[in-house]
Amino acid sequence: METILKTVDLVKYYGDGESQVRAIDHTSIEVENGEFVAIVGRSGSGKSTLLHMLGGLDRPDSGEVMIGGKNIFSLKDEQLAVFRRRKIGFIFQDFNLIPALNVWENIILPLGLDGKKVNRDFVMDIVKSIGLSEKLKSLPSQLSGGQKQRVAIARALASRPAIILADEPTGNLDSKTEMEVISILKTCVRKYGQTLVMITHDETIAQMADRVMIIEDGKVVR
Amino acid sequence: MNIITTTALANLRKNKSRNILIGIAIALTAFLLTMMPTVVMGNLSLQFEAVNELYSPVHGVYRNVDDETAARMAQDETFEAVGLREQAGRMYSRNKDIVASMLCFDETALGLSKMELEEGKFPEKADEIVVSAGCLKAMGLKGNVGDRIKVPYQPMRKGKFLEATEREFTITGMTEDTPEALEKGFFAPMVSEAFAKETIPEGEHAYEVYFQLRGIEGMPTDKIEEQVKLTGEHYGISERDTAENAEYLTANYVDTALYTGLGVLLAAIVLAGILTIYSIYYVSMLDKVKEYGKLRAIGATKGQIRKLVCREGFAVAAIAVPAGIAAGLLSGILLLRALVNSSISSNRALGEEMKVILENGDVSLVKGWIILLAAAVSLATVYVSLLTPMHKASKITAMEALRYQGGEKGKRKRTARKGFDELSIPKLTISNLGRNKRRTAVTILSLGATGILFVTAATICNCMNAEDITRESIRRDIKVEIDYEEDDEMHPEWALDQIQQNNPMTEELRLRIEKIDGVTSVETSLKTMGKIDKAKDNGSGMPEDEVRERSGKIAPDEINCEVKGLDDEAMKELSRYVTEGSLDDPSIKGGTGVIFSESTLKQEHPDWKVGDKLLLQVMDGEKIRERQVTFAALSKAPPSLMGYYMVMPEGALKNMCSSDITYYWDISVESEKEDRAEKEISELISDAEVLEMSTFREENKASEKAIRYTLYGCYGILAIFGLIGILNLINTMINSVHVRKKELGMLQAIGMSGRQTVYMLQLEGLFYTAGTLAVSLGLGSILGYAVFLWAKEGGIMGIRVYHYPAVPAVCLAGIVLAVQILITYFVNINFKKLSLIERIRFAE
Repeated sequence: METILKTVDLVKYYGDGESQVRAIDHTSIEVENGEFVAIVGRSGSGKSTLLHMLGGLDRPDSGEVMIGGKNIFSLKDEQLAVFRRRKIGFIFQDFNLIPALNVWENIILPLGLDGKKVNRDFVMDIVKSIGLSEKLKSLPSQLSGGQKQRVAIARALASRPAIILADEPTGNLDSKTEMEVISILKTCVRKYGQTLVMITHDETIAQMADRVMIIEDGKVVR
Repeated sequence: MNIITTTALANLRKNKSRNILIGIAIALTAFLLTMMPTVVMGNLSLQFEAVNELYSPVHGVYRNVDDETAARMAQDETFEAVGLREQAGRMYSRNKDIVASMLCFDETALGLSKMELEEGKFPEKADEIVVSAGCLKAMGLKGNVGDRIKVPYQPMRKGKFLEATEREFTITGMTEDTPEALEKGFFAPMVSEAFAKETIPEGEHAYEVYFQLRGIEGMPTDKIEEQVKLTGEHYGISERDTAENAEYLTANYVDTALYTGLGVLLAAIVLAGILTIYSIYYVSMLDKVKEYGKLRAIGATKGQIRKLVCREGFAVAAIAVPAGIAAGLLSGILLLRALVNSSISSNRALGEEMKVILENGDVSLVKGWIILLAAAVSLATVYVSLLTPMHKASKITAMEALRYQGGEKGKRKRTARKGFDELSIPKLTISNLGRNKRRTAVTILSLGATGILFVTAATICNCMNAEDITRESIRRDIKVEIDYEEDDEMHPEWALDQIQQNNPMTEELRLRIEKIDGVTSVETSLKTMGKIDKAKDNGSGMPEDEVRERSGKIAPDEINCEVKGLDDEAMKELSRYVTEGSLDDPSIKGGTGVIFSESTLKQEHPDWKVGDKLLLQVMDGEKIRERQVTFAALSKAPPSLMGYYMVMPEGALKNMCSSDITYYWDISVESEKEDRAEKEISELISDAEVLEMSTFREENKASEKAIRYTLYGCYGILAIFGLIGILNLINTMINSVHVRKKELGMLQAIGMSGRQTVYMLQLEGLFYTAGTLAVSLGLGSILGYAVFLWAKEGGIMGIRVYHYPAVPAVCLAGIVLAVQILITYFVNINFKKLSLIERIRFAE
């Protein structure tokens, strides 16, 4: 199988001296194309920092992040932004939908930013998959937490990225909705042949992944 | 310090940029509230001090009061003080340009008139006199205090001077000559009451009564003036013989109109302040919802939240108000000094006196009450601006705050949005502006309000053309006219008909002027005083072409019009301004048609209509000429062309009068020879004292100066209002970025590039700019035109022609655009300071 994501000796420290926090400490991981990987760790273990670096949101002190064979930190900020909207789909814990845009607009937002024409059939298919066909004109403020996260999933899928990064996607949801959202996420990823890296502190959720990585004190221990 | 105050102070530092903005807005409000009254009240104090220095402390004067009435007045409790002044005669000089009125004052009048002697004492005995050196010289006399001089004089009786006689007087004192007195040859030697009693038989006195009314403290000037008139009426004194001491009254009593004007201006400043401070709070409240919600969640009461917002606001005010007041005070004093030193007062003597008072520091320009008032009003403004934010903050519930997403809250919650099928940066901008419709509208309107004011005032300033104003009074390059005084009973010889009986504007003089090198033309205008009324039975009783002659004169209080005679050239020019009727009316060709000035006619005879037959009497030397005329047309021509009342063709007026009623010459001069021609004309007319020369260049300079200060003042105030408006714009833009910091971070996370972010912010800014300009220029131009029409109708500042304020409008557009670009630039720099990850985490 082809390696879609690879980190090489990734380092990110905060602060100096005694107060230094080793958020990511010489971490190297690999993710195969089409794989669903869960990164599990306690609060403060460095999992969010790792995900931010995988997505090119934050730059490491040293090391590389290769996506599709390209070291993303060799790109300038503007190039990195373009790379993100084309190759990476994000799903955040608190949904991060644009309040002024309706469901449809939120979903096609990455395509709009890229100046691409919307493949209506493809996006409608995603919308059907997440079960929000009736809510396309609704504004985020009218949606439940689960519905908002489903919109975020659709947004991540819409631009057919190389990899989807999910940061505690069920962290703000109740247990019933949590399972529902994770099921939809997993189904969609399979359906559209996407690679998914999800960070979570919930072992039960993690068990739904193809592979689980455990992170402690900035190091992947398993 | 309790926890609320501690939190408020911590917030003060945390919301630094917002508090700096609010601080500037509060400081500007305090600045304006201090500066405006400092300039206005300082100017008034100086003026009042100067008035009290120069003017008598009397409330008014009644003229031509007989002995009995004067005695009754002296006993009347209505008056606080009654002083009598009387002209007992005049020194007789062969040179008729010398006027030396022999005046006598009673003790009270002396006290009230602030008369001071250079040396010696006031006259007491019948043969005592006070003179000035100038007077002695003019009369060909010599003498000092204690010397006896023989004075030829004409005693006065019932307003007429009797045959000259001679009497020996002892000089008891000397007065100083004013430069004006020496220049004009007007003197006022003083004689004693005993002399007046000897000269004027009892019952034939005609006093001038100088008085102070009792019990008018704290009364507004218009009420005092009314009382002066009513008291006069009570004693049977005509309005003509009643004069209030307007300058002294304004200086010492409350002028309602003045304070109302100042009040309105200050209210406008307070309103602008409230609008700005409130809108800054309104916008930043969106950002603070979560924070107040958290405080509510951990147990803060509504009252505590209210206190928190209030204390944070007042902590800013505690710094901003003193800073604003100090700056306002300093600028106010500097501005006032500049104003006084540039002598823009219409009264030269008053202006000079004000300068002296300012230099001596006799009047304190720093007024405690202004500072206290400015502080109190500024703090009240802050409190009023804080009321709604305090109320809103206290109403936020913990749950609301946790759910808060930064969207529009309100009763009408939107559930759906049609939206776009495809997205782009401009579409994203439109969606965002649509989300904050109320904020967008409030910002555009508050910015636009300043813009509307700016464009309106700029229209008026632009229409205030110095040349237009000067042309109101002078048609060509140089004007030579008769300087007459119609209402001076003391000097009937200064009346126009009296001067014209021996008219110095002779044909010979005209020809000599015409021959001066550079003079290209001398146009003559005629003028005489007269009386006009509607003809009985609309003219049926009198044939059109008959001019009747009557002996005698029209009594001064019956004169109600002046008639100008214009030559063919001027009549042609006049035709451009006709608003009703026509100059082709047969009556004008037939010599009986008259044209009225529209503004005067509307005021004095609104019921007269074109075609009406009128009976016109004009003064012609010692005779009255009377004829029936036809109201042929109405005109809006400037006074330099048609005077203030009515005109007839030159030929028609000459036909009525046999004496020379030439009144002025409009002289055109080649521009390069103007200096020399001016000098030569001035020399030619120097012999005739009643002739006065004025030049377009000089008058135009004065007009330019008058406009310049109006413009400076106008634009100065507008600049400050503009600054408040710009602050508003900056605040809106900064907050629109600040509030959406996380949203923008998230947009960037999903792939919005930095360039796209800046482009979106620029588009938002452009929308505000376009909206502001559309409101300012659109409504401002409409309002400006309306004000222009009003000013034109009222003849204010010589406004006649509409000039669109293109330059100020372009400047306004340029400034708003530049501010917008700068804001976007700084927001972008500020935005870049935070890393993407910090932005995404923001508010967590």
